[in-house]
Amino acid sequence: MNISSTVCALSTPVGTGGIAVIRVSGGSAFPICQKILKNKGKKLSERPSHQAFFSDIIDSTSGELLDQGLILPMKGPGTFTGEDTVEIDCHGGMYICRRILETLVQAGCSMAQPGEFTKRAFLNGKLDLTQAEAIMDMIDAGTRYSLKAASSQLKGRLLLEADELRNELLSMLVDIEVNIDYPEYDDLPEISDDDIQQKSMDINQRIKKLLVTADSGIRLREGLSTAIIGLPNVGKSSLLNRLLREERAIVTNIPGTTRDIVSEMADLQGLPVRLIDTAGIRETGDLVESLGVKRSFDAIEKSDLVLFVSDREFLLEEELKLLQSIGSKTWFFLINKTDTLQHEKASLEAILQKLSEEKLPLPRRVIHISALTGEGIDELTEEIRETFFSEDVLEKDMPLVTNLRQKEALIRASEALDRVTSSAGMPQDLLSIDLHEAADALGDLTGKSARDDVITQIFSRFCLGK
Amino acid sequence: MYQEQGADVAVIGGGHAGCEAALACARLGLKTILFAISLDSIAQMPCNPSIGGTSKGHLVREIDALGGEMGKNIDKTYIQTRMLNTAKGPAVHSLRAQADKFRYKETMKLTLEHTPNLRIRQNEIVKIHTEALEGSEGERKITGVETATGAYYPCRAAIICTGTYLNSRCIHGEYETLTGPNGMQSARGGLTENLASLGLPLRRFKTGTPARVDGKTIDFDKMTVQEGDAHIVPFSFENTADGIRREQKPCYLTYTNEKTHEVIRANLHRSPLYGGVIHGIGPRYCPSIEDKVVRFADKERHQLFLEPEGENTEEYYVQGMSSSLPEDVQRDMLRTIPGLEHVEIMRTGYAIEYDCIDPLFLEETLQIKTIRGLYSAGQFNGSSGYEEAAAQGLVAGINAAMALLEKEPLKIDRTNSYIGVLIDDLCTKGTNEPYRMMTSRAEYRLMLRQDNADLRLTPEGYRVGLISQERYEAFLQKKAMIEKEILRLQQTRALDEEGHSHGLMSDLLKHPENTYESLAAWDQGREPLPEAVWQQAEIQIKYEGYIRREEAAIAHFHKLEKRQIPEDTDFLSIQGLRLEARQKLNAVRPLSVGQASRISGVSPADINVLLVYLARKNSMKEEGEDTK
Repeated sequence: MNISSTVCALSTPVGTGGIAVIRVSGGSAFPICQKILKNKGKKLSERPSHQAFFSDIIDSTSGELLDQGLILPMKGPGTFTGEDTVEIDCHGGMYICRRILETLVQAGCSMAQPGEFTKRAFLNGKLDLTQAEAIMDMIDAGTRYSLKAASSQLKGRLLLEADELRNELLSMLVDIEVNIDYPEYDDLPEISDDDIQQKSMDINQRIKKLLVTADSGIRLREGLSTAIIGLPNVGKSSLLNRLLREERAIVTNIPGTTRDIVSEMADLQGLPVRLIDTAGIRETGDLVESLGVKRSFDAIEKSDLVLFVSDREFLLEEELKLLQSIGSKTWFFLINKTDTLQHEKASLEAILQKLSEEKLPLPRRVIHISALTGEGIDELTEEIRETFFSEDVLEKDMPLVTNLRQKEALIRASEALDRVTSSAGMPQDLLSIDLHEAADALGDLTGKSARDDVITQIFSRFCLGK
Repeated sequence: MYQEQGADVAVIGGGHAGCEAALACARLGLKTILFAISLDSIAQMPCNPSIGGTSKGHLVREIDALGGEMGKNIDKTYIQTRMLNTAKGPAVHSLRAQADKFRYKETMKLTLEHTPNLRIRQNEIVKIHTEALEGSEGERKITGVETATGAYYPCRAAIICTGTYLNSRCIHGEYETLTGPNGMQSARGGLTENLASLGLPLRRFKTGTPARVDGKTIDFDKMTVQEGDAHIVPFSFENTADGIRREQKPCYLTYTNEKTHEVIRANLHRSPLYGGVIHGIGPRYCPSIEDKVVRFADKERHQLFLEPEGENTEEYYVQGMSSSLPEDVQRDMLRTIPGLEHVEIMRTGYAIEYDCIDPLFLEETLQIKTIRGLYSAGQFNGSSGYEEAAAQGLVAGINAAMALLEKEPLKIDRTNSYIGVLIDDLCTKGTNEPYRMMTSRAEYRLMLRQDNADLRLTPEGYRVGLISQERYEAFLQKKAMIEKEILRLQQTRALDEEGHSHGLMSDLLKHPENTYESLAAWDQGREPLPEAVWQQAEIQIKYEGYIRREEAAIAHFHKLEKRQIPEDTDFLSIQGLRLEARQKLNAVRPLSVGQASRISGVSPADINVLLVYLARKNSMKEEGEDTK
């Protein structure tokens, strides 16, 4: 991230209201925005801070009128990011937003990376790290369920649970350590080897329960990576449009500005589904043409779910070739009713038979859809929910692991406790190595470090000394 | 003031820190002079009559591996020795010896007297002379020291080891004396004021000691006798068990009871601790008996040990009864204890307050940050304990010598020694109470065993010049033997009486129930080896999995240590850092991210902020270079 640049991004989900807000932040926010505004008033830099005004919004090169809206200039450091900031309230359509962002980029802005405003706010001293993390999660929450995950996080449910587990580990460590450092005391409570084993297993169970929800939790935050593949003209673009329009898409990136493979977030009845390489599908209309093949392989590589679209109930040679690249990924076989639906019926069994013969992976589900009418999309949504989002996570109010850092910390703690179990019979001071490791891992999650805590507790709980 | 013959190094104080510091400097060839307020206080043990114990025993073994004296001196003068924690893993086995206090200090003094390059002088240092350091901003360098009698000794380095003597005050209930420990003269001639005027941040700490009682008036039959070990392990790697074997004296265990606690509670109003007379900060781990009774009110009894003060004395130390209550209360409470019904006190217990420095003001060499050539060690640095003091004295002595000899400072850190943990804790975390070493403070405890202190530190002791060529070669030979035996065990099949193979010896050894000795019958081709050799082979094989992981953790530690923080970093202005973290970082001024991460009050989240800041600063620097 280059903090000296000026960045822009859409700050509201497209279409959730009639108005969208585009935010521009950085040292050149005012002069850049000046280039896309046309009105009779003063220059942006001469206007009072934090006072909105009405203006035409134009294409900076052609002068074409793009939209009209309210412009709010705000001078740093009294802004969220601490930098000069301009907010542009425009109409909420995806096309308009895209055009305005494009012209801002032409005028000298860079597209903001996800969470960049928060990062800037943090780097400019406007937020501390924990606040920043929680806000980033809230911002990233694209859908109803994501928001739920983020707010559970904000309430600190995961942190509370991790802290409690850590305290139990610390208390066990205190019992072990005090006997090591004060062996001559005969009245200290000794913790038995069995106790250590039992408690470690109990704590490990609770960590593993948290981990079960981790993949779903992370998916809620980041969206389920999904690739749409298939031969030309089977209806991939119409499926894409259907998925994005069905519940109104949130554009997280603009093609060609930041990444090679662009993804868009679809909201399927609250489930965040990130469709990979939507640009590829849009630009070329298909992925199997010359350059398209490699792209579809890349998309498969990055995905958790592959939607394989076909418009007939049997498989062509090229399709079999494409399916070879799926490997062990979960895939759904979507049979799309197109206008030119070829009624060359073959039984589903025959298809599965064929796949087995070719030693190709079988689809998790086969779903008949119509990208044009929307038929079967509900069923698709239901299958996605069932396969990828655990019920526990969606409906129950339990602590959620929503990012990789948290997941890794929990795995580290759990592995350390596994080692305590497999090392039964070893002296306690050696078991304490892994108990410390587990406590440290949980401390990484909660932001605390263990060793001083153990020593403090030793002296507050026991009566020791000459 | 008149001029005396100067020295390279002046050591101020002759306690455990001062002795090691002076010996190290003199042995490294520097003209050294040691000042003590009384020569009778050299190597004095004013509190417990023992050396070692959990983690402290480790320190003594490490001092020995680096070429220090404490281990050798206690081996010459112990009257009981025990290995503690033998039921636990090898990392926490801890050696402790009861010392003959009188012989301990007399023997140490004789060693000092017989060391070339070393002069001993009874006198009080009242002033450190300094001059501005050329080419620096506000830094100074030492030029000499001045005694209370008006003598000026020019020197190139000085090491402050004033222990509990500096501006000290002893309190026994209502009765106070302006004395040092054990009735010795206090250092009140102006050194405190002088150090303060040099800008050193001084503070006041407190500690205490129990009464000494007359052994003739103790009924030992009412107590549990505690003998020493038959299997003797010397502290010094240069000694053998047979070489130091001697008759041992027992200690005795007894307990306080409800009556004792009643006496204490009834007299709490006369306690200087609770009456507000004592302002110094006392340690949590050696609370006075009145403290224990107040803080742990529901405890029915507290353990006490009666420990002999020496061979040629009837005096016993009452471990567990440290107190600053008036002496009549001390007498009354002692007499409630089984076996002490008719006890006669010989020396009253007391609390002592003294001046010391905030160790955050020290570099890891133990040099004071603002005065080139001025070092400090021991209780003056906020620690507690003879072993902690000796370890620092050795480090300060070596580093002062290395600086004068223009050689690299001593290479120690948290990954290779308890001494490293001690120094880093003091200089990086600081302390709000007299600091005591504990095994729990060491992150890499399994690597820092008392049995392998020589393997960890002998090469460094040899490099700085305190380990002789002869000893170093013996060490190399031992190391080769250990490696050879490990290799043999990894390649040898265990064969039972009928010649059936049970797999490799090294694999069998990893089972918790097997030991090197228990597998002897199945181990064909085993040659008799010294215990110190096969023991190392056994430990290194048996705990290989844990050792590997600690080694990985150590590698990570070194990685963070290498992430340097520029010396001119303005921590106070780093946005995103919590205010507390900014202040703590600014106080310590860590030189690496690793060091920063150990500062108390700096959280992992703060470290992330610091990493972001450093990365950003680097990238801004690069951007700046790009545009040039």
